[in-house]
Amino acid sequence: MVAGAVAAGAAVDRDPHRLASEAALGAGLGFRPSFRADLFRQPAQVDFLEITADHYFKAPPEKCDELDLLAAHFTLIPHGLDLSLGSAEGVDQVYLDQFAALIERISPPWWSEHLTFTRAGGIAIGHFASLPFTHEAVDAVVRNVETVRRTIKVPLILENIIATVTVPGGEMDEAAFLSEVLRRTGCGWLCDVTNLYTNAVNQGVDLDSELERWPWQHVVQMHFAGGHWHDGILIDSHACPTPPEVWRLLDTAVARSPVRGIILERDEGLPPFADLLDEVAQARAIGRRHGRWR
Amino acid sequence: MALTRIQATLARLFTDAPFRASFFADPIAVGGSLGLEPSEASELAELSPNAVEQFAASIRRKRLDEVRKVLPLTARALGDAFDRHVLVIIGGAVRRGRHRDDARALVDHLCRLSRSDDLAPPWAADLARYEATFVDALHRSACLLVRRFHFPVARLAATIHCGAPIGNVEPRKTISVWLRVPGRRGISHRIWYLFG
Repeated sequence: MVAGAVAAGAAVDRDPHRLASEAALGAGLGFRPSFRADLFRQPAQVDFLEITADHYFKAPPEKCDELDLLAAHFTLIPHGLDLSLGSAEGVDQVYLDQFAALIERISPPWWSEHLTFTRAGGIAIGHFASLPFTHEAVDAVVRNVETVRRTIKVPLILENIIATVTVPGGEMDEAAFLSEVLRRTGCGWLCDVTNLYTNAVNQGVDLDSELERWPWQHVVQMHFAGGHWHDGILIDSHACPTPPEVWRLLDTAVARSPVRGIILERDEGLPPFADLLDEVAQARAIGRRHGRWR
Repeated sequence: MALTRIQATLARLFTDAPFRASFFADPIAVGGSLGLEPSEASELAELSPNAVEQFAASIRRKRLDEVRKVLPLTARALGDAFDRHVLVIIGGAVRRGRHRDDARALVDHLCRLSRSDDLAPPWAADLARYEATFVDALHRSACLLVRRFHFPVARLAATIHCGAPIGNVEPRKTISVWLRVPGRRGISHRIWYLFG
């Protein structure tokens, strides 16, 4: 069930202060088991890893061993898929408890989830669904984050998603919605640069002219990857090398943000590991150039 | 708008193709059956049907990819037909959406087709059941699973895994056992061919 009401407009500013004291992590990879052997041949080339939290819930012993091995060599940031922080019905306490157990096991500096809903009316959607950009939806996220914080004390950061469907009745645009959620919850922003770029392209928005409207001061971490075109739509498949437009936006975003870590988030069609390391190195160099880490 | 009702309706629209078609044909009546006020249904009817269909298609693709990851050998064996079979089991009906549930549903579907001799190759259902049992055993902390097959599934799996061509496969009664002892790593797997 959902938590009690949080006063509308009341800003919660605990996490920014905690996050401000966290050291920068640098540039890393979203961990995929298929490149585990390559990763351990060149661990110094990857500053930290993001793991898909759901893969370690009720995990068999072999996955637990994998988690312990990774945690022994890298800082791990757990990234959730199905907490459904935008669900008006509240968050699933069983799922939340599993997440809490994982976080207790690996003690990350922060953890992340998507600003979305994935469950409603007894249906697991299986994907990240856009929230209506309304004050009622902001209130739902705020309530759910409060619920989450009663179980997990480690700072939470929220990721912007791909908006395939725009829900009618919006009272603000995505930038204003995200800003309001971050202001009210005190969460940091996991800025998925590729999602920003993809939404702008598919919606015909000139992102350069709207950069000032995004809450860059709340950025803690970034994601980037390449997508592909399908039937005139840019798909965030995470299956291709990062295109020049996304590199340029990443550079712009890093220049504006107190970012602590950047993750290359490749899922499908993984290239040779050296190609992934090249992109990680390029992201690391961008962070260095803007003084985000040494 | 009541966010709970809106999200429940969106979840149906994204996952249930017959519901999607009927809602866009008559949003007030169909929305009303889910408790939407006429004004809420009218507002949701302003959704772009194309965008909703694209999102629904991306959900199907995602689920399809996840089932392929759970049953990679079955996917390789069935080739293009794999996607068609998976889309049958994830199209229309609302499921929980977990990829292992989808994989189990696919195995059941292939077994039904096999019983009515509508599956090619005929051993694909056995292979899927064999592969799914490994996944099942892997996700248990302890188990003793015993399965009977009509075809020599372990040899089939090894052949497909190596990428070698599969010739004509004769039925051969096979019993397979998976044992996972609490506190121990790995699964102990044994297979017996009963005749010949």
